[in-house]
Amino acid sequence: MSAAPLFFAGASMYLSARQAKAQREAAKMQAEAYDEQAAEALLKGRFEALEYRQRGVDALRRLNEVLAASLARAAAGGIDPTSGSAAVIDMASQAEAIREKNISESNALMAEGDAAFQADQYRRAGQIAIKTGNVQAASTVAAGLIRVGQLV
Amino acid sequence: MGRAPRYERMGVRVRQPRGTRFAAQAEAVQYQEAVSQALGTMSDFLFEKGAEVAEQRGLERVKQEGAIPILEELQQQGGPRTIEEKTAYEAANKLAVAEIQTEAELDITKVLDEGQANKTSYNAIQSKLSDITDGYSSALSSIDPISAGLLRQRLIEATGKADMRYAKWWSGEQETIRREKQNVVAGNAAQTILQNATMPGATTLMIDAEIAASADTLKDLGVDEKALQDWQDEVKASAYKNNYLFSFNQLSVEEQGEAIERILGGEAKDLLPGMDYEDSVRFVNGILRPEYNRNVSVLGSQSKYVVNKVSDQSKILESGGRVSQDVIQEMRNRAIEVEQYDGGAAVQAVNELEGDTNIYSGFRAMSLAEMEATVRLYAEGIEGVGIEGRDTPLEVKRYEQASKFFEKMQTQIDQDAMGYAERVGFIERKQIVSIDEQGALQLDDVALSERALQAQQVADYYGLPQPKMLFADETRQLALVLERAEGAAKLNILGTLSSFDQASGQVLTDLADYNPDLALVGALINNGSTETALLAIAGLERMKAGEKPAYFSDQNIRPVYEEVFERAVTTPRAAQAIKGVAKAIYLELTSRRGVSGAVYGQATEDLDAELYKEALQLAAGYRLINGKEYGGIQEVRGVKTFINPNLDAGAYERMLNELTPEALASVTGLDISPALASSINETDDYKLRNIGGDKYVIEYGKNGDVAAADKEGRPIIFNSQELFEALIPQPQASQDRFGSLSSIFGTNELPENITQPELDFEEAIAPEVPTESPPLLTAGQLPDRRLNKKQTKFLRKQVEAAKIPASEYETRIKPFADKVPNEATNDEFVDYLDALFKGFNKSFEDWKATQ
Repeated sequence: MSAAPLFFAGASMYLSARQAKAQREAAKMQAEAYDEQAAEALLKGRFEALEYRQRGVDALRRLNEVLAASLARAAAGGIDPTSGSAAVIDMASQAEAIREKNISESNALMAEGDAAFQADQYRRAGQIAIKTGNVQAASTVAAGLIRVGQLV
Repeated sequence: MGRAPRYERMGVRVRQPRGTRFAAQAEAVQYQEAVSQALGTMSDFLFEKGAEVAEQRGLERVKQEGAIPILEELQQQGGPRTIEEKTAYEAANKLAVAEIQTEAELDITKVLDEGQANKTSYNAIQSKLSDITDGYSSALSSIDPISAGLLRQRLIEATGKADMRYAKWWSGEQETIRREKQNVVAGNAAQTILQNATMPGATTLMIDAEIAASADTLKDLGVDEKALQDWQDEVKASAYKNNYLFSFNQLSVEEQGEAIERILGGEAKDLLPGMDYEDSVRFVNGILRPEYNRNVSVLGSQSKYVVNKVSDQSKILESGGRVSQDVIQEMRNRAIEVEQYDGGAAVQAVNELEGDTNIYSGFRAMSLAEMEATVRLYAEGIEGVGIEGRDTPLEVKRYEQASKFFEKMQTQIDQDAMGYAERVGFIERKQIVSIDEQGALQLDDVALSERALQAQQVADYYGLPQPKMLFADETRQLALVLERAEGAAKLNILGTLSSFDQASGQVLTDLADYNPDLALVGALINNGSTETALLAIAGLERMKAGEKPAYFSDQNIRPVYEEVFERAVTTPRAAQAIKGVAKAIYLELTSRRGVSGAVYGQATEDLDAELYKEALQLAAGYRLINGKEYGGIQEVRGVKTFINPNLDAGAYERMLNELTPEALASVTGLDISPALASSINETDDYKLRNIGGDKYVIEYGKNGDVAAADKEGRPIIFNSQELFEALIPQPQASQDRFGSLSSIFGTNELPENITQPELDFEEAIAPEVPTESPPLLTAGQLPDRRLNKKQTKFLRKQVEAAKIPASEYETRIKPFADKVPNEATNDEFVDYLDALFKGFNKSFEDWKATQ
């Protein structure tokens, strides 16, 4: 066998191997990017949950202010704040504030849940990207071998 | 009244779900796509490979099964389905098309070739081409329709072209045949006309009529007008020329010359028929004049031929040959034919040859002395011709003829006296020796004695110093036979030569010219030195086989030779022969004895000088009989002298001591004074020297400075055997044969010149000279065989009764006796030996066949 086919077969195989390696590297980098995106999603979720909880707190703070004003007014007016309409109005306020506070808490939990889900998506995508890279690399090597096989 | 404080809603709402990015699903999709793509690539590859394999299998199938069977099989199954089948189908189609097309083209070519070779008609060829197209078309059913259509088209095209080619060839052939026919008829007609033109009595009118008749025939055969006219013109011109040339050749040479002159004269009546002056001159210069010149030349050549042949015959006459009367008559006839053209030169030459024939006839009958006298006579002119002296051409011619004849006569007698004598008709040749199937010489005793007489007559007539027994070619053949013969056969031949008796010496002398070594061996056999001869032959055989004696350089042998011989042998030829035979003897002795220089020589690696001396003596004819030394080199009066093998040194001493003028005169005719004889008898300063053969000269002084001379100053040269017999007549050791060692390298006397004196044994026999015959065979010399007492006694009795010389036993009987096979019984052995003693001369097997 002359040297030329061997040279071309060797060169082709070498380049295929390099291509496969590059594919695996690209997949790895893609996975890393996904991991970072997962972390970012978690972080965003926590911030959002925090904002929701802050609103719950704000609702309770506002309720407290309303109840204090009502108490003061009643006192000033001589009204028993613990009964009658005052009490009813306060109870209504309490109900409203608590509802909003509960909604905020639910939203915070939901935000955290969404973030966790998104982060999980990214992590899984990264793992799959590595598998894809491996498959592509294997395919590239196999194709290279086939070509070599046709040359020699 | 103010409004009671109430809680105001912050507007907190239930969080709406955010859009989630389903990256994992997207990646999973991409992953599945990647897997799918990879698997697709693999699948494609595997399919391609599978397809390739299937295609290859299809092609292989076509290769193995053949195109047509596959096509038929696929057609039966309803067409190709798999890749393999499709590939096979396509390949088979292509192959079938190519095969059919090639086969059809070959058939077409074959049809055309056979048609051209057999000159088949065009219609028959057309029919055959059509058969080809139809036949191959029927074979297209298995092929796919498109290929079949294309192939059919190609076949039609090929047969069409072939049809056209054959049509063209056929028409050309027909044209050629027609032309050949015309040419044959035209050629035959022309040949007939030309032949008739050279018949006696042919005229131009007859020629014209024949040409016209032939022209009509050719016209009927379709020859065109122009060609016909050309043919007529050419035939007419050639026929006229032939007709005239025939008449011209009937004329004598003179008349031919006159006819040429007349034509060249230019008068109209003398011009050649059908030709103008220019053509006539051209014909004369081209044909008639060369013919005339050739005729003149032939006459000159014939005259020259006769003169040259006369010259050749004259040379034959000069050489002693003869010219037959038939030859002379033939030359005379030729000479007469040209007599009037060469002025009679040839006739004169023949006349002179006839005269010369008579002259040479007289020359041939002359002896040398007569011829010499004739030359002298012619030197003084011919009596009655011219004035005194050689003053006429005839006298000069005769003198030259006689001189040349005499000169050649001398040369030829020197070279082959017997041959010359035969050529001039002095003797008639008869074969004396023949070679039988076994390569042995067979002697014709009657022819031998006749030859001896002829040799003597020739020697006497031509004054030869000694007779020559053999013709030159016989001697050459004998030398050749001896050279080629193996040892035993060689000895047999030499033994046969010795049975020439007195003539053997002459034969060996002749042989010495060609092979001195073997001649010397023959002489040794003649002298009874059979053992020496056996040694020499065996040694020569060894040398022939490539053996060489060790340390046998010229530097080593020369001192030994000079010590033994000193100046005893004076002729170089004899010395050379003795050295040659001595070398062979030395080689044989060293081989037999296995000795080297360690025995006699100075060192182990040296010539065995004593053994070489012995060999030299043996080669010179030395023999020891009853303790007495004969022949060889012995001292006579203190000088090494060559001794006649039949004499001893004492005999030579006595010759000198008892020489008398009378005895010398009786054998030589020389007349010496009694005082000189007395001096020779008494003074040891007179020595003997051999000068070749058995001839000796008496010299004075130790170195032989002066030869003793008779009263007329002639040196005293004598034959030792004769002088010995003249001085002391007594029996000899053995009869001197003329093949003796002393005679073959020198002159010898003729048999009748030897006068055997009356013998008086009682007073003549000297004690030192042996009186017995050559030693006889004794029973002890017979081959060893365990015989019983009775057989031994019988054999001894037969040996004694046979009285066979030991030499004869060695040469004739022993070779046969040695070859008796061991299986033979003792009785057979004894009976066979007895037969050999009684003259039976064949092998044991031959003898047994006679029992």
